[in-house]
Amino acid sequence: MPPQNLVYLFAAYSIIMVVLIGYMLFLSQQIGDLRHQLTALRRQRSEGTPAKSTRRTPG
Amino acid sequence: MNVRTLPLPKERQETRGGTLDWLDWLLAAVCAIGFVVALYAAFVYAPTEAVQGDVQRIFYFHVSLAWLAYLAFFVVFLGSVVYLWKRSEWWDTVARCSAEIGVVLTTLVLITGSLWGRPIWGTWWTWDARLTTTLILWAIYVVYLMLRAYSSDRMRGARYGAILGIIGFADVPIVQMSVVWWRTLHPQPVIEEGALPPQMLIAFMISLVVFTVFYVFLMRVRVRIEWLKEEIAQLQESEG
Repeated sequence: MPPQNLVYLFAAYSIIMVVLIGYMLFLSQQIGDLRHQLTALRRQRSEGTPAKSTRRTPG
Repeated sequence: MNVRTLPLPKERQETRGGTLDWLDWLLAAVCAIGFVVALYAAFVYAPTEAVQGDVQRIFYFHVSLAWLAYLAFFVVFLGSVVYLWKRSEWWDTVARCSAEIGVVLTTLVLITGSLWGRPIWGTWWTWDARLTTTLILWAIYVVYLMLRAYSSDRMRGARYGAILGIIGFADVPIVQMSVVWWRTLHPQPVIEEGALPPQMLIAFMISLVVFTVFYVFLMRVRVRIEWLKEEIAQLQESEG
């Protein structure tokens, strides 16, 4: 086989690795964003609940 | 009925905000080591093919990716059947996640096949039966994902998606049998017929096992993302 055909072999394995690593990074980014959003929502909720209860028990 | 109002199953309540658990880390470690071993087997352990030369080594990952894509679409089929039968939201989620992974894998199958075809056939692409049916398979599941993403009514999207997931799977046996049913440029099956030398077969089996573990790992992560989305939607609903 002509040596220049090794380029195709190298390209195939490189693309597989790049796409799979890229996909994992994309998933990891999504998990990070969603967890951040969830934490913010939970904090918002826990901060909101005592405020409501104080208003309900004024005296 | 809006499915977002359904209570989260027990296992969903234990997601701890989408944190990876010990099994995920174990799978990730197995994949990392497994890929090194699979690359060693494909590049060093397996002998060089006499006619095609080193470019044949694309085969080990290319065929493993194709088989895993079949598995991913089988899971879509299974999830779709169970969803239509039991209206199980869990199986709908599994089907949707598997379709996404299947599309990524099929994309890689098409790219690596093209990179093998260029030096061997002298062309990047030909409308050969195997290639064409694989491209159709890829297109079916891209449409599936688009249908799921752009459907305004989630239940209707899930139902139509399930129907497409079942019908679309019919293309998998067509892809597999295309090289037997039609005269094609694509090589005939060598694994099923036992025509592969033992070292090549071992290298291929290692790749196949590693990609199977990797698929399981990706599915666990991908499903966890859906759980997180669901949890956020429920919190937002309870707020609103």
